[in-house]
Amino acid sequence: MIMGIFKSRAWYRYSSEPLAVFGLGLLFVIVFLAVLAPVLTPFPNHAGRFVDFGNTSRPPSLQHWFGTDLVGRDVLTRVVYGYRISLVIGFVVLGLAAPLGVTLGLVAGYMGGRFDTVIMRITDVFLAIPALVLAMAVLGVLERTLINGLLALAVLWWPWYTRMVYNQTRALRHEEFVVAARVVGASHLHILFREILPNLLPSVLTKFTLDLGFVILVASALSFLGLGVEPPTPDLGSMVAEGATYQPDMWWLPVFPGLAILLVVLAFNLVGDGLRSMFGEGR
Amino acid sequence: MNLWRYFLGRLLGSLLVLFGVSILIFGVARLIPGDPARIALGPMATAEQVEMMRERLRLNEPVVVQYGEFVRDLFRGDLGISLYTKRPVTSDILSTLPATFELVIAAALIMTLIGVPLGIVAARYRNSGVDRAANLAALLGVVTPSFVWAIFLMLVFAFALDIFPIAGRVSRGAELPPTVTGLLILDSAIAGLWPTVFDALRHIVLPAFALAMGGLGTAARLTRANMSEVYDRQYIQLARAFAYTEREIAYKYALRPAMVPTLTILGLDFAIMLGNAFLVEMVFAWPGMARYGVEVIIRKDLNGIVGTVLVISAFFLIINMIIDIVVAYMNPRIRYRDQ
Repeated sequence: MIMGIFKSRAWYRYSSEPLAVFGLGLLFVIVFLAVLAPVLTPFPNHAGRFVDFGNTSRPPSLQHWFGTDLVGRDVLTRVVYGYRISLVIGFVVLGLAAPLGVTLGLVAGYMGGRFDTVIMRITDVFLAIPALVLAMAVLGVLERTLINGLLALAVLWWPWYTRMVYNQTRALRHEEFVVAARVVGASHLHILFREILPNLLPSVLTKFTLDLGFVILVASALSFLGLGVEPPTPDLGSMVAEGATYQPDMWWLPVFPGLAILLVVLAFNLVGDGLRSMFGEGR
Repeated sequence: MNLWRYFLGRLLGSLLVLFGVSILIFGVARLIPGDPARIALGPMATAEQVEMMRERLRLNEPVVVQYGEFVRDLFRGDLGISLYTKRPVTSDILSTLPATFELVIAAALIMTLIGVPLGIVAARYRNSGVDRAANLAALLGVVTPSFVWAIFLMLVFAFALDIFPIAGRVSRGAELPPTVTGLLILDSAIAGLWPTVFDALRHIVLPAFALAMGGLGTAARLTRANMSEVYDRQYIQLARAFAYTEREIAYKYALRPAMVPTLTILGLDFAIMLGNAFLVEMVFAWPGMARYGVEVIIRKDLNGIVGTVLVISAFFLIINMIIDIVVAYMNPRIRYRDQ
């Protein structure tokens, strides 16, 4: 059953891009590490409030591949745990933002008129504020909790889906299959979600995958600025920020978490690009 | 004639959006839990002092009235008093904005002057080694956060190789020019202080590159994609059939139509850079808006937050408007369609 995927036409098209296959492999490794972190990491107890003052700031060695931090915690362990929180942030933020943005885009594009004006002008306003700055402002005024961080990111992400879905819905709404559905008396809800939405799914799915990487990137930027999750939760952005103060002597402190962010964003990007060409939108 | 009408329409649209932004950010700032006056004055202040501060901030009036007065002050260039520095937000921002502006302009120049040619080369030699290398470089540029670029570049070029200075905008003890534009490099050039110009240029290289890398990658990939599409058109084949040189075809016939969609996206990249400037400035201790912006946010300084976001958004809207007009100039179809 599962092996059937590898014989399908979709996989054939996807696997014609070596980079996309590489990205998928990388993504599997990252997700695998993150999910099984308590079993796979060498020092799972270093993920929380752990100190070992006899073992602080050690450069990378066989025992500590990525070295140890200022209080003697294993950086490799904390990087892997950092992936856990990053992945959760990515999926939750887009899980909130994408359905909201898609629905608003569908409504604005299909209904037109007042819906169009109101929704799209609000979208313009949100898109006029640089994403990072808006997230900073929202996070700044709210209590600094993980939930609020997720909300702040979701607030800045939905307009991109609205704009994309809106443009595509506008192009589709006078197509014959939509008109036919209306003629036989289908409800607006049916037309929006059963007739139009399935046509948009490939591009929404592609954007969702690409965005998973970018949400993680922006979230790490926020925690780099000190607006992320509170310590001692391992977070890649705050690890880079903390380590940056001690470079160049302790270069491993910012470099490995930095590379970790790069790799996860890269993985989602390659898979997203692969999906795009699989769905036949790429050039 | 038509370009003028298009310009006026775009100007009006931008002003409306800016109006919306001001409502949005003003509303967000009023969501601050707790009493902003109490937060500003600290736990030692008496109830009377807090009440006076509330009066000064007009917090006792309805939100709509507060907003009305905020807009009235805004037209006089007054963004209120920062609760963090205790100085007018306008002067706080004006004193730090030019440094950020200089950095973002430098990054935008790098993005365009390196990214676009890279894309052109990749498109001219499609599927060659150059193309693949450019593609990989572009990909790395996009997926690496600018603060990680900043740290990598600093480690390699400032610490290990010692080619560029580690931080700051200019060396201590350098002769500073009188402020004309606020852009240090330009001001120094105007005053004829060439050693300072050179010194400031050396300081801006690493932060500007760190900021530009993301946009550079996008610029290269977009230029390549759009130019490849143009290369497949028949008029290019016709040009080839008439023995036009590849050089002529690339720059005269393929680049211009390819640049239209590219430019639009570059405008969006500019927005990303304005935000990312915060990150890069923190790493390189660049004396721009970042430190102020982060401080006002952490200290829940509502006037500071509103002012910072509003100025950055206005900046972004102006840039985008300019780009839209350039695009409309290059592609007449847009200005006719949008009427």
